[in-house]
Amino acid sequence: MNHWDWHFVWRTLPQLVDALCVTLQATALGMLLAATLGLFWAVARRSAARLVSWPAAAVVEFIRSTPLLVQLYFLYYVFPSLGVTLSAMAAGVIGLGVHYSSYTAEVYRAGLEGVPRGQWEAATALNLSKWDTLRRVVLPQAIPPVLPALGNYLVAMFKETPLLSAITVVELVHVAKDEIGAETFKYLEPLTLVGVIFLVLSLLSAAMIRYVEAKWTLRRIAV
Amino acid sequence: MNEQPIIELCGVSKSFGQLRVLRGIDLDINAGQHVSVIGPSGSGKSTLLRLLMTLEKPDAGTVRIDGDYLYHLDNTNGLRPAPPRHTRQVRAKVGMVFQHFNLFPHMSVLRNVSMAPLRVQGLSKQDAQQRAEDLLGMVGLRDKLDSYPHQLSGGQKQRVAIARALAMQPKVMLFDEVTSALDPELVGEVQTVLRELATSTNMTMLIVTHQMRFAQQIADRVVFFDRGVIVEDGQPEVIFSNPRHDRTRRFLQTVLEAT
Repeated sequence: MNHWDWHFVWRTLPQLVDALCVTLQATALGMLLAATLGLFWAVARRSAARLVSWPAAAVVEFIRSTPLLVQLYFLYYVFPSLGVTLSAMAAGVIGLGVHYSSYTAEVYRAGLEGVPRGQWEAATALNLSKWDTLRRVVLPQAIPPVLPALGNYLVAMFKETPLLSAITVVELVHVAKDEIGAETFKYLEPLTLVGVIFLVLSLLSAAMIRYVEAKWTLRRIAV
Repeated sequence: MNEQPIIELCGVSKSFGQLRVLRGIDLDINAGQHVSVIGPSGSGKSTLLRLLMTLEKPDAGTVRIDGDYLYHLDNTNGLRPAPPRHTRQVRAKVGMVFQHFNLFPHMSVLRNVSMAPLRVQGLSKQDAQQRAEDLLGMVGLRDKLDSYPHQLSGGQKQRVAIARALAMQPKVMLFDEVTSALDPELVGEVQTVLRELATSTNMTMLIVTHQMRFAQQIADRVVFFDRGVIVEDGQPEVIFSNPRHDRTRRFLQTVLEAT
């Protein structure tokens, strides 16, 4: 029977902290990509030009309906044979970001639909360009209400980063299982720590999101 | 004598599904005219304004603003549909004020008014703000520059919206039931602003309203719409005291009894 070894914990902790940095980096970059690309999809889907809206809808549907793991394998193992070679981290960030952009696109869509038509009409009456209409009139009203929903996807994506270990990114689970565990044959401590780290950070982020949400609701009531 | 009208509609039709909202409207409006557009709800008067502002597209017919086709390009071999860029250029001469104000809630009053001159006309920030301040002064809101729309009463909001539209210096102003969403005691302040605008400028104004007395006072021409056609078109005194058509008479009777 294996029992908990604090010495071992302290000795391996630095490795896990390094791995946590990789996980956080992948999450942050992935979310950056997901947040931008998702907005792009959402706006493209609303376009009056079918040549724009239809492909955008199709791509989003395709991304959402295929597993992230398969997409990661494609990016990392299949793309090189098509002449595109990506580092594991790059493939991981792109995979996460693109996959989650299909979810954030829906979130943005809800936000855009929440902006009254009169706002678009006022922008037309003032002869604003399409770009100014979006950037200065519509998005500043569409995005704040959906920030909590975007935040929830950030947490969800964070919890999915262990999938990146499948394409050799040295994130938390990879380090715990394939480095520390495989070398010492002790899995209890590293994997428990990984679980705790995910738990604590997820709870913290969820609390933050709730805080932002509460603040937003208050503001809306005040208005 | 025969100057070019600033607005020319020729055979303009518009349907929403089965509903024919405008049925071949012909209408010329000269520069500087103040036209009240009256008629029952759903008669097509708001749609007319929305077509002039390009918020709806006509199914048939042509619209000219100050000589330029709004939805068409005039080639040697006839008219063809205009690209959005052209439409945008022509509609710069038109401004509109809405029933529900449609102010930008995330911008201060000053920014609501100065944004379009800044972004669209390329004014410097200073000039755009100066113009906005002057116009807000004109509508009696110089002390509200830094307020946000939600801090204003309905009448104040609508006055900001009027200043915002004027800031783009349009030749034609469209007013779409601008007092209909206001509490009764706030109607007066907005009507006063419109009256001042009508007497102090020679801006062309199209005013859709259900307030008959106001329609009569402000206009030098009244157009009566019913079921998508112009039934009667003439001087306010004539239309309100001695309409030629039965439908006009019946409509006026109904609304005047109601108020």
